[in-house]
Amino acid sequence: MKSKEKLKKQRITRDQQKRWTALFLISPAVIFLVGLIAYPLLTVVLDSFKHVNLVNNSISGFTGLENYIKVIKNEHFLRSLYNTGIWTILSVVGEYLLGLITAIALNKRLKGIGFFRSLIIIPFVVPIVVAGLTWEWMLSPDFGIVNYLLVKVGFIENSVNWLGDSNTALLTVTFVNIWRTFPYYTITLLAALQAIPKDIIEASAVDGANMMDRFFKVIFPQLKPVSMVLIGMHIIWTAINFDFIWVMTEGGPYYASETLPIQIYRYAMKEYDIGAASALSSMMMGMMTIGFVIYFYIKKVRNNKVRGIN
Amino acid sequence: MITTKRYKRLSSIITYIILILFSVYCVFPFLWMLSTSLKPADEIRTTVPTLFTLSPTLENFTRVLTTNGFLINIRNSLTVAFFATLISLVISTFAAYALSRYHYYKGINFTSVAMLISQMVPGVLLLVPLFVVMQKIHLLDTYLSLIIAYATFVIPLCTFILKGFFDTLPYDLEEAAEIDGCSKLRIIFKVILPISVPSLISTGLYAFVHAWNEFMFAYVFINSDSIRTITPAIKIYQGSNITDWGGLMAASSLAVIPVAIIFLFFQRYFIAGMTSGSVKG
Amino acid sequence: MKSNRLVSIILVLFLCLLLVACGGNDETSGKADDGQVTLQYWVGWSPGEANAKESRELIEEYEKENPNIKIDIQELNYEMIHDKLVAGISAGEVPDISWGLGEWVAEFNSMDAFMDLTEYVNNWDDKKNIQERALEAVTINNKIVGLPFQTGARGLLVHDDILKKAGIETVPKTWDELIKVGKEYNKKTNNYLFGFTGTSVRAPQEMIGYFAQNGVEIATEMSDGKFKNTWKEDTKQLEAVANVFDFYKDLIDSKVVDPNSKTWDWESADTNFSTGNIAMEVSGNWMSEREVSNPDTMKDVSIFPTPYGEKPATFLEVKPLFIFKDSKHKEEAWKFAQFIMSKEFQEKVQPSNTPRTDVMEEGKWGKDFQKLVETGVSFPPVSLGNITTNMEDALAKVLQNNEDSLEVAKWLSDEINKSLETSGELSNN
Repeated sequence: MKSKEKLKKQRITRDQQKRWTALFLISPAVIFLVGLIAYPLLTVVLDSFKHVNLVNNSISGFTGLENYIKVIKNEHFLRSLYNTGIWTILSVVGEYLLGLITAIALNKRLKGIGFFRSLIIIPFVVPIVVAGLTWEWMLSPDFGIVNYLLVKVGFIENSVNWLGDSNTALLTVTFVNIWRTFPYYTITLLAALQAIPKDIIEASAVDGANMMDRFFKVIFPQLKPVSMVLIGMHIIWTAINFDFIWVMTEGGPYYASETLPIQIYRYAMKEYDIGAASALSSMMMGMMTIGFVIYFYIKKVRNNKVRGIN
Repeated sequence: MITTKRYKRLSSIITYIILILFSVYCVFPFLWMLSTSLKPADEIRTTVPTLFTLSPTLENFTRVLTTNGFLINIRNSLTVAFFATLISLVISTFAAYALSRYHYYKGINFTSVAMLISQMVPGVLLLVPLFVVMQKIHLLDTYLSLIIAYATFVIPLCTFILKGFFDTLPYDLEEAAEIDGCSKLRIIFKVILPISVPSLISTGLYAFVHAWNEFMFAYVFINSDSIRTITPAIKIYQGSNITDWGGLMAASSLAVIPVAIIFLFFQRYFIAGMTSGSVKG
Repeated sequence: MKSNRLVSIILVLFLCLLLVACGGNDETSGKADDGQVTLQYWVGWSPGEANAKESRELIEEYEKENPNIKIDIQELNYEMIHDKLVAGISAGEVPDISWGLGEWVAEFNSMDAFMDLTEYVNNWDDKKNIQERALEAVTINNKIVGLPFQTGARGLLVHDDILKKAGIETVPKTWDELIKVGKEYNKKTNNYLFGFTGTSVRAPQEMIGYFAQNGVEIATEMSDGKFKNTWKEDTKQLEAVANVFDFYKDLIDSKVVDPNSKTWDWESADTNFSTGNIAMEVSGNWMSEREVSNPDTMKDVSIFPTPYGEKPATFLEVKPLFIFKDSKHKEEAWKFAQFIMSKEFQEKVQPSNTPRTDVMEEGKWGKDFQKLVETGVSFPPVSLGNITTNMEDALAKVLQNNEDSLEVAKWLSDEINKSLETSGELSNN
């Protein structure tokens, strides 16, 4: 019938129109991504299989897995891997704990809470270069205020060379990283806390739950989704972070605080070995992708289980 | 709440103590930075560091701003950060809307995953390839090179934050507008954006802070003093044979203060904006 | 319609952005449309450094006398200059003329970055007034690739008052004397007499001085014009190197130096000296600036030769001025370089570390350091990026990992040869 055909036509063109709109909306982002991330990434993966030198254009040619082998055989590779793991896990755990505590504290309706809120955000706002240099200055074994105060109060006997001692370097950098990053967790967790409907909490109180129970059994589970995303993001961001460690120790002393991104930079900018840098980068991205896939898989299984019960 | 008055008072005190401790922890380095920047040259490198100086001076600041032209660096950072934020907000809004409303298209879904993966790329990795790209299109040593780079880095996350927010908006508003005959674009501008203001502000702040604080690419892409942004400029204070700590701290203070003020002003929006799926009346 | 208006607003903003972005770079790099030439000059002075001001004044005068030339000065630090040059040379984006470190000469030369100045310098009147050792440092295979801009030997800086108070009459001349005096000083005062740098650019510079004192080179020129590290072929050399490492170990074990020296960079060492924490250090004449920042503790400084192992030697640093092959204004750059090397300029700006033989600063920062140039050695003309890292790592192995000196000497020898191989400079002999 005529009207039916007309409707059909309309539906087709409406559908097409929808597609066009979607395309139009997403294309600017896609252009940026493809041109400035996908394309360079492709060159990196390709380069990992070639001899490429940053400054000597005469070095070229396919090498298969040679770069990868070189990277793994590097005497500092395992150390680097280990450091990256410690740096990441300790940072994220520390940041989460501090973030949670401050979020809870900031969630109270007390006088002047806005003031405290602003103060606690400050580390996040400071450029990494500035934070790194300022802390370096404060931690100096000879002229730093931290050692001075610690010795005066009696916590330690002598000045500790925090950034210059291979035993403390990585932990110290992790500490500064936690200082700088935890406000991000604070803000997010605070927002999540404020989104929890008050009735749930009050209901549980009426049911006779004490403070501990209230927190762990009612509030905390509500924070789970946000926390998972937060932690997941930061694991990645911390692992790939370069600026911080570079500014404070450059991976030293003697590679004690060397992580994978530092090693990548070193291969590329100090040894000019783009092939090796690309190989290490590809490996790193591969590892993170695998971790991610595992995470999603576990989440899916858990979701399915939950749905199964329902 | 079912609590006793005394319990409430105790919990308040504990909370205040915690807050004060954390505030000191957060702000102390900043105070130290300020205090060093106000010290005259001979008081900076002393074996007994002092928090306050008896003869505060503004000479570090004046030197940094005038002789060393830090004011220009600030102007550059502001320009680059502002435009990077603007571009990424526009692009992210479009993309987030698409991801939220058109997620059933395979292409859209794929883009979403791609964006996720792009967040896992170490910046170090992109340094050399991007440098070569910028050089090929003759954009090295211009504002545009940094603006483009920064926008690219923050677009994925901005998109996700905005998408999260858009997901919470009921369809009825848009459907109503559509029935009235509005184009998609108009819907976005007239309907979606006005309610998204808190989210937009927090996303914008995030983008701005990232651009303002970025170091590595600004260091590599820009050569001219006249366009240099603040972070590489600060690194230069770690000079060749001497480090001008007073100047470095003064410059750092100047770098931190504008953003700190913006945050102080907007912190309520920022926190509100981060709330995805808030329970609003 | 409202949406159209919004779209047009966005377009306008975008256009503004383009304008701003393209107009952002105020200085156009040397557009010779109207005969106006702009030279990009990268310098490594710290903002606010004394000679920075004087240099700028003189350069302004130069611009007035040469109205068609403008000098665009970019202030960077050495690390930045190096990294930017590395990135820029391979991309063809270089300044016209730039400061540099002696360690970079061979490296950038192998990238074919430099303008060949041999003819220019040989025909230059002032050539006879430049120290020969300095010119040697910028010559590779008889090709002159830069101009020696600043030279300076390293010497032992001593706080006279501190020594006097501790009852030390003579300044130690040899390593053995240094260790003996240091031990006693520490026992008496519980402080550290001396200090060295374990990390940063300066560590390899100090090491090469000590190696030279024991008669060893890190890379020897072979008959085919290339280089090789020959330690493993000669037990005497290996032992001499191990001896140097043992010296470092001894300084720490005998409490002559602060154990943190293992990780001191040049700044820590210099600052410890300028604040009087340590009584002596090996450093250079830039320390004159510390007299301003630490007037009380720097008023008693004297200059002596570096304590030596087998024979006196010290590190001679030559900082070159580079003119780049890819510069679009090489002639003007050369003229400007001549101006910077001129007597008038050098006298006003840097009389104590000038390469000119006809300019001499009278005070200790000038004359006393000049005396030490005779025994100065510089790095061999090879790409040094990896080699200096190898040297720093070797020192770390010895001091931080407590490895055996002889084993580390062998390791370093291998690493140096590996580095030479990577840069294509290893000899086949």
